[in-house]
Amino acid sequence: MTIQTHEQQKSVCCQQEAVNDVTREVDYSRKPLADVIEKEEAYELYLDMPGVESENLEVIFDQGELSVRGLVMASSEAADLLYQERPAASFSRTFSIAEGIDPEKITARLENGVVIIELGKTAAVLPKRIEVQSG
Amino acid sequence: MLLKRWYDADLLGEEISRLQQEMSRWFGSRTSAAFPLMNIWRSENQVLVDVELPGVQQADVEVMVTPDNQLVVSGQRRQTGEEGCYRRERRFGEFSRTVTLPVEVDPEQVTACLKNGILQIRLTEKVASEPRKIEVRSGA
Repeated sequence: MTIQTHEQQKSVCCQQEAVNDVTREVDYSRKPLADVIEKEEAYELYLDMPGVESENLEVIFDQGELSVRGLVMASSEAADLLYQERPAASFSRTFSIAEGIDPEKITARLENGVVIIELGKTAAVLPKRIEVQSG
Repeated sequence: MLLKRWYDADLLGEEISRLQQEMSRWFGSRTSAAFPLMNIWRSENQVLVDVELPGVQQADVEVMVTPDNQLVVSGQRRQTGEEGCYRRERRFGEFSRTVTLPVEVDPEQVTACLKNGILQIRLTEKVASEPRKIEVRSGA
């Protein structure tokens, strides 16, 4: 799993091109279903991406956009497909992130085919506890 | 549109999928597809079924093969939390799907494994019983 911010992204630019060459043929047209939950100090984004392994998951935050991409490997077993409901495509979806998210406070994890991304709020938008002084 | 011949199978199929699209456009994705989605594969003497169950715990899934050769996958997906939620596309709660298997399987030889939100069920074809010669006795 990779999480990148804009600065880090520049440095791996060349590397990324090499990866793109390999994955050019991959169809990333499946849009994962998502839930967004607001917590006191962060937003939580849940994405259903069944069949994605953590090494094939990519989360990039760049200029206010969060893009999530997950490769679904095709079955390697020699078998004939009799009935298909699951789309063959891999997952990708991009979200516009409102101001108030700290790029340094983004974490992502994968649990049972669900990608959970936590987007920490910037200190400026967090509620401040004001100490009450006695007069 | 209504003047299409109803008995033309191709046109009817087209019309049904058009109606389905129309329905899902009106009612959203909730009515457009069965849950959970599955693929069924057939290899030499096995049937493989992949079921998409993201976010479902192993303990919450049940797999059953009925005597009339149907596969039943049921269970529940637990809600991740309601508070502060302002976009909800994922579905929660109980689910159950029944599919008729393409070949007769041995209910004793079924394995199921849940990994990365995919339940893979492996079923083995039932070996046809050998023809048995029945001795005919004379009714003395």
